[in-house]
Amino acid sequence: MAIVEHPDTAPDDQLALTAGDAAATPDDALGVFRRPQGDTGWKSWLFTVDHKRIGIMYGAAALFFFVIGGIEALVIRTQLAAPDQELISADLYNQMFTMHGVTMIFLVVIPIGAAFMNYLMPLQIGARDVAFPRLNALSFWLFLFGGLFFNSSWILGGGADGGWFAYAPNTSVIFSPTHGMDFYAIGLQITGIASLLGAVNLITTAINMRAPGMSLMKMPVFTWMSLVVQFMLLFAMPVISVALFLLTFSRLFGATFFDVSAGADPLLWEHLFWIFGHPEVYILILPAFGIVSEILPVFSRKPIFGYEFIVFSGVAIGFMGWGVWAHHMFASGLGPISVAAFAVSTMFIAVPTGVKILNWMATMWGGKLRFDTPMLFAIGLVTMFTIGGLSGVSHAIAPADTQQTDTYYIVAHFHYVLFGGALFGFIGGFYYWWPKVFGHLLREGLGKAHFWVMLIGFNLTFGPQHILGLQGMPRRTHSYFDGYGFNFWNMVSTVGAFLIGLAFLIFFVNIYVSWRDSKKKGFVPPGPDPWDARALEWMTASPTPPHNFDHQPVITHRDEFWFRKYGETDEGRLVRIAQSEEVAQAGTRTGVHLPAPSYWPIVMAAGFPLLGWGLIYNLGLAFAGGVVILLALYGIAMEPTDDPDAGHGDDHHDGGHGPDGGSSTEALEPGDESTDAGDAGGDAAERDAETEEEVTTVD
Amino acid sequence: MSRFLSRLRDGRLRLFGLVALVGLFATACASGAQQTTLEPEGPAAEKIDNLSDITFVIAGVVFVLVEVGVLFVVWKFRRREDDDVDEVPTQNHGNTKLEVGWTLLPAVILAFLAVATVATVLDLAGEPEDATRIRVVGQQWWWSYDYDIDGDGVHPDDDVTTVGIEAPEEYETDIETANEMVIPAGEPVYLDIESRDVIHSYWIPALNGKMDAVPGRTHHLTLEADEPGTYVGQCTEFCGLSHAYMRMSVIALPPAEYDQWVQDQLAEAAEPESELALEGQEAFSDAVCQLPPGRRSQHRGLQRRHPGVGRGAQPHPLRQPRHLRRQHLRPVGRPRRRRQGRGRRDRRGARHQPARGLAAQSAGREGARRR
Repeated sequence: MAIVEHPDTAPDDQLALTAGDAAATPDDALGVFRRPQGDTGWKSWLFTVDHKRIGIMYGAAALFFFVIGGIEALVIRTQLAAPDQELISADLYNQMFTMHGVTMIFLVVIPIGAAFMNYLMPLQIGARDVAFPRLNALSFWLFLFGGLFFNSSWILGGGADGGWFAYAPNTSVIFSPTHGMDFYAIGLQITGIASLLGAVNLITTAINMRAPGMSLMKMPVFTWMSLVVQFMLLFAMPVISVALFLLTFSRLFGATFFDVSAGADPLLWEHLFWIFGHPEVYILILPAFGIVSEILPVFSRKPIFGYEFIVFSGVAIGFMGWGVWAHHMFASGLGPISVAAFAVSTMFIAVPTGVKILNWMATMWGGKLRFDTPMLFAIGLVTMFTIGGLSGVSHAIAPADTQQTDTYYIVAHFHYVLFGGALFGFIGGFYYWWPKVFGHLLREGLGKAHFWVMLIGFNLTFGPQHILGLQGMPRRTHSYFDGYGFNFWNMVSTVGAFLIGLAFLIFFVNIYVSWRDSKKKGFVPPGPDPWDARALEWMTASPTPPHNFDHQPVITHRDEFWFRKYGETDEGRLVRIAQSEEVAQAGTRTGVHLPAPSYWPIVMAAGFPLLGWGLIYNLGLAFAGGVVILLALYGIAMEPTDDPDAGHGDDHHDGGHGPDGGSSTEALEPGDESTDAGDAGGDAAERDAETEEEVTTVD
Repeated sequence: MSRFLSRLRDGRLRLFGLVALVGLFATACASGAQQTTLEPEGPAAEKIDNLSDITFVIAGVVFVLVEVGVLFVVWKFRRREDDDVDEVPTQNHGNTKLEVGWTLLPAVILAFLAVATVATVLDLAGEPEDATRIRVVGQQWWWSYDYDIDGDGVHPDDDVTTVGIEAPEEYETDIETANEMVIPAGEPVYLDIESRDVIHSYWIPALNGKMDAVPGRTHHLTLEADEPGTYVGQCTEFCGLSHAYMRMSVIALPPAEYDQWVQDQLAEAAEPESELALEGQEAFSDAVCQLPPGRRSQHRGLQRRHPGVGRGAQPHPLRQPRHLRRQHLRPVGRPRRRRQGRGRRDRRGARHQPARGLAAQSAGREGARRR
């Protein structure tokens, strides 16, 4: 239902109807509620379809799950601090590491990536919103309810205990008789739908809704990496969905997909899981690569070095990521030919990754580096991810991997990739875009303390695990014996884990005190551009106004914002030609028509946990969940496309345009932009105005 | 060469110690690591280790170059106090030649590693000639070993798959043991690795990499120990509650002693004679001897210590498809006479043996075994 308008499709009447025929959306909408109104209060958050609010909610929910997963990690490390400890039983330990892994991957790293993409992608390409705002809301609520459903297993008889990889047949009813793995299968199915919908949404957004002039090769690197990630999600999620359906049917309805005595081969699950699982690794890391590629140039005051190489290496990773899954299975008895083939393909995926590292170094080369907190985290990613990348190459050496796999060496490796890589990037992104989102900076001193404690804690935790792995300590063991040389490094690792906990305490304190500072009298807002940034998202007010841009910018350069601030003198010297405040839009325009909020995404998402609990406990409840979903589907289909009385003071919807008037494009009101552009930025602003063509989203 | 390599090994540990920012302790704490992957004791493990050494050296060099490079850049191009705030650094957008260069360079290094890797993979995959063939069956949470001594292709463990069938005569010429695998030193043994329930992984780090035991499949692994000795390992594929305790070891005997061991195993068991031994035999078969040694020693001891142990083997109270029941709850055959002792008993199990008749049990077992 996205309507992407171009002037040539509606050249004469910019308010013309464009969405299907009006008969499909009659005014009273066959008994469905009108769209909710207002943009304040808690209800406005529940029913919002604003990509910025959804992005914030993604981030907050992910941090909530991060705390849960972090506590689970600390329990694990406490149990392993010394040999022969029995603080928790083997059973509980197995639940802990399973829940920790699933939570961190599916409920923390993916959604933090989604938070950044939701918030930033429309801003970076100069769009009003994502292509399908209601679908976007549905994605978020599905993720949140899926995550809560999954974690509800803790109070309903115990968490999943088969490992995040859930190898069959250890996950069958007979070997895992609690309902934990049912929650795993259905919970991930629900969050998988969320990811899939998000993928469709953001791909459409990036491809169709870029501001005029923004060719693909002018897109900011973060948006590029997001696009690659969403394509990977689009193809990877169906694979895990199939696998999870097989698991669900095996566990709940006695199907025999992984039952050897019925002729099945358990390797089927391994292949399905890793065909999803390895692209998943790049899904987790590429958004952080994109964030670093935004941060490094700004704090080096240089453009990204080799934009094309950075972009194409990201795309290359996106393709090659599909051809390496079996390196997780080098000890699974694939046979020498398969092993050799996947070893070689795995080695060569290191090439595009290495290119990125060197390009980031070259970006900093010759710059004037400022070490604000975002920059520290970005440099942290470059150095820490390098370690994870190198240990990754050692897994590609298949014979060596048969010694390393399923030991703590692997645990060290993927934490260097996902924590030292993805999470460092994300935290850097939090510090970098915090003023954009909330209108105030996070405190610099606390930020630096956060960085150093986290860097040291992280290396103390996971560095020694390389040694433990090479000394032969297997992973997923709830205890280990004295006398194997494991004691010392495990203790170091546990100390490090609590340092990481401390680092995040500092982070949360920082969030709180910075927020409190911003409420004090005499608080000076940092303005639209606190970092002297380069990309488009900074070219509007901070915090971002609901309508993003007063008028759509016209793009002539990569790093458009920077080029509006800096120019060459006659002698060819680069100088600042305009202040940020002059170039950035004021964000004060009123009367911009925006997609109306909707009741139905959250209602529909709420049906899915009901369906899940019902499948496990009582089919009647499942039926109720199904009814809720169907009713919400009806609501989504039949609710009025827009509520003419909805906020924003929009007065375009006079009669004659029908109830669907909201889908029409905006005519730029003359004089609208005259106040927000200073002299220097004036040219560009006028350019924006002349070619103004609103891209409006309709759902 | 070997001294060079052993020095490399130390260097490798130091490298990771550096990573952990506490390099000082690295080598000191490597002692007593009896399950280490870094001290190969057999040809397969040595081939792997040689490949790892090359990889670690290359990775170490790249690591140092990149990290030092980043620190250098960060130091050299930091903004200085006296910098002109308005001066903008040169806006350098890239250098294609340079970038093509650093795309190709890692590709070339990796191509070299790829050749070495593929060669080693193919080398390790072959079946050795004239190897002793042993079937290894993983099960929650122990390993059984079947030696097809007479070479008739029938394994002594085959009977456990069939309900109520007496062991046929041809089994009488084979050996079944548990958890400790006795092999001849200096000769290759070729393993057929299988699983009876979930996926396990067989791993003796000093002798070779690991190989998964997947139900319904037979995987192969060649083990060879250069010298007589005991080599430990443990299951490395998560397999449930007692995964951490699913350990095994390989005892390599000099070939002559190995032959003697085989003969001893094939001999008839002695009847217990002393009263204590008789009492022990009774206690042995009475309480826990429905199961062969390895099964029982781990199962019972663990069950006492962890009430949840064995849970996975019990039918789910509500949902219990028949086929699943059959898959796991196969009867495990009557106690057989020719069994090696339970070997190094799980020490947790030992600690929780009932006090009553422990000595008697032990005596009974000795008698039953008649060494």
